[in-house]
Amino acid sequence: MRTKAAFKYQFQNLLKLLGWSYLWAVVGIVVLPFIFSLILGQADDYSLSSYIPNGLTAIVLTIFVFVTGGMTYDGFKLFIQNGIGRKTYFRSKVYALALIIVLGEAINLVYGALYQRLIGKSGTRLFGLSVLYGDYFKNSAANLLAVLLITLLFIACVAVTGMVIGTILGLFSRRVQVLLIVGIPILMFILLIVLVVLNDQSSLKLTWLWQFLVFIIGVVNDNIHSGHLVVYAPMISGSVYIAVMLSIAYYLTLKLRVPR
Amino acid sequence: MKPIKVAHLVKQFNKNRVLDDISLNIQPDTIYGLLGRNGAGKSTLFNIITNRIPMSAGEVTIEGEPIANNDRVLNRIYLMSEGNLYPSRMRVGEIFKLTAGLYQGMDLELVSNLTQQFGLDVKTRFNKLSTGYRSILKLIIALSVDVDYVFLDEPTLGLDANHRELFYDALLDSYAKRPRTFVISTHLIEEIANLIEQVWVLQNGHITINESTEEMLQKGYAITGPTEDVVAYTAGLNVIGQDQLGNLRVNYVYGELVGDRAIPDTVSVSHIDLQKLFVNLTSQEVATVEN
Amino acid sequence: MQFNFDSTEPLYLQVAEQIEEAIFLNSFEEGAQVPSTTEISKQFHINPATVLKGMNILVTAGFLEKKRGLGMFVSTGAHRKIRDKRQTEFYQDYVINLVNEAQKLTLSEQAIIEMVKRGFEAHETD
Repeated sequence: MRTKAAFKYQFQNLLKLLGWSYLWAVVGIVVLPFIFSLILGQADDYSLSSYIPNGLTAIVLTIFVFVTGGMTYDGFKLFIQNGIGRKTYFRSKVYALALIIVLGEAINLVYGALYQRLIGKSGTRLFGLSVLYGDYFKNSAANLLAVLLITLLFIACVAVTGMVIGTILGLFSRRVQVLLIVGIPILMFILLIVLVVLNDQSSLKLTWLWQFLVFIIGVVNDNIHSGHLVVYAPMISGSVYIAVMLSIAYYLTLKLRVPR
Repeated sequence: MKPIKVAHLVKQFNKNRVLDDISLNIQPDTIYGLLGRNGAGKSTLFNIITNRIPMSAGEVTIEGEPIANNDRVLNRIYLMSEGNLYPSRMRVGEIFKLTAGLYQGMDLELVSNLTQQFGLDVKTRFNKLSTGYRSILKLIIALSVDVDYVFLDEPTLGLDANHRELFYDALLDSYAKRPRTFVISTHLIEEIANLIEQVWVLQNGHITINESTEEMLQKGYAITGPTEDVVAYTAGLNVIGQDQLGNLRVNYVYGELVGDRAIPDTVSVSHIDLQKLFVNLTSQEVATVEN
Repeated sequence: MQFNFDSTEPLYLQVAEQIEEAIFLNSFEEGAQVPSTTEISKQFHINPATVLKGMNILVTAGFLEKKRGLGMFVSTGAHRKIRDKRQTEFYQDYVINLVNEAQKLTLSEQAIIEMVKRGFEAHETD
């Protein structure tokens, strides 16, 4: 099997793209506003902390894994041209994305630590999710570890969601793709409105759905305070979600063809 | 390397049976010509053998192992096709590097020689290349990559006469240095007629001819003479086509002539070349469409 | 060497004939090396197996010899052997055809002999 060569190519490619993404994020969020304030003559008012968000790298990473997870067809095309089958393509992509997520999370940690020290106001948390899970254990190291793991799982969930969407799109021609990309969100939106309206009219109470959703993120009863959500719940539900989505993406990847 | 076995392969697009019960043995170290008219299904056959698209029925195996998603096998095959599967923004040089990494090896010296001979600029992005240079890029990869089976679908698309000469030179040179199997599909039959050892003719979804070039040419005849004499002589033979000029008639025959039937003095018998033979063998397809 | 391929004969026979002709015309001298299979294959875009098949006919006929690791060489006496062979084939290849054509044109035996004589005389005065 050519997994190693395939992995190496995918990882290098992702790494390069991730670097560019960080760069563009910094340009878009930090440099451009600064230039604008210069042009407007308000440079004195410009403060770095008001422009750099706490979770900059985390946001970039999350969007990045969603988008690259979704870029299925181009990679498949290139690999089949180079004598590498769908299974190896899928496997190497999962490995490369996983490593990127771990690496990205390490960058998030470093960024968060620097932010806390240099820019942050008191009370800034290292992770966004600390707000929910950061005080579950008595031991702060255990808390850090738990939140880190949940964050990793969350980003992985986003990535596999991207993969499934991308692979579904990869099965269709460009025209159908556009149709799906435009049509499905509209349909979902309409569905949502209908549900909300129905819910309000109390003909259909969707409280069970809400309860289920809060349960799987760790609100096991009504007396839980923020920061003390059960850490095991998102770990289990996240892992299950990832496993299911990966299976779907794998099955669909085996169906890819070129020309479509 | 063992032969690739194609057995009872069927490909159906909706209700249209493009390939119907195709069985072939693709032997190692042989140069094949796959001949067929436009739309005969040549590219589809190539795409199935290289696992780009699924088949409707049948199997493609090497040593009993199916090729589907089997890297061990797929990595020994290169298909040069009209479809552009390389990232459009990638530069020529990067594509070479990438191919060398994903395949088990590549003759980089040959790559640089051919790149120079064809005048291909390694810094150009793929989407900026002309049709001819896209073909050239893919040909250079096809000849340099370390595989046992090379499938070339219209390899000379967009190439001028000089570049085509250069390609045939490079192909034979590379074949002499490292024998492997080439399967070439092209409309320029004359140019490859002396190159190919074995001919497959794909017609109406079937392989109608699977023979060595030599045997096939030995079976092709042009019987020329006055109409009545030619018609009388070729009665009962497999006449695949004809030309008529006044009372002068040429009947093209594929198959054995009748040994004990005397050739009239007025009639001459000669062999015909591969292109003429192919054109006559496959011209009925259009005739049936027109009727 | 001049290859002039037509389609009336199998390609490997044409290859053999062309090399034989080149030896007969001393383009390839006795003892000299002839171009390799690959060279001929590349030059004329012929499958190397076909070229080899043609060359092997000449090896069997004793016009060429294989020297292991070196290539193919014109045998000593090849020129003479080719001449002998062609002399034997002369009747079949030329005389029979000549007589056939003469009969179609209703030319008498005497007329043909006269023509042959004239041909030889013209050649001598060249």
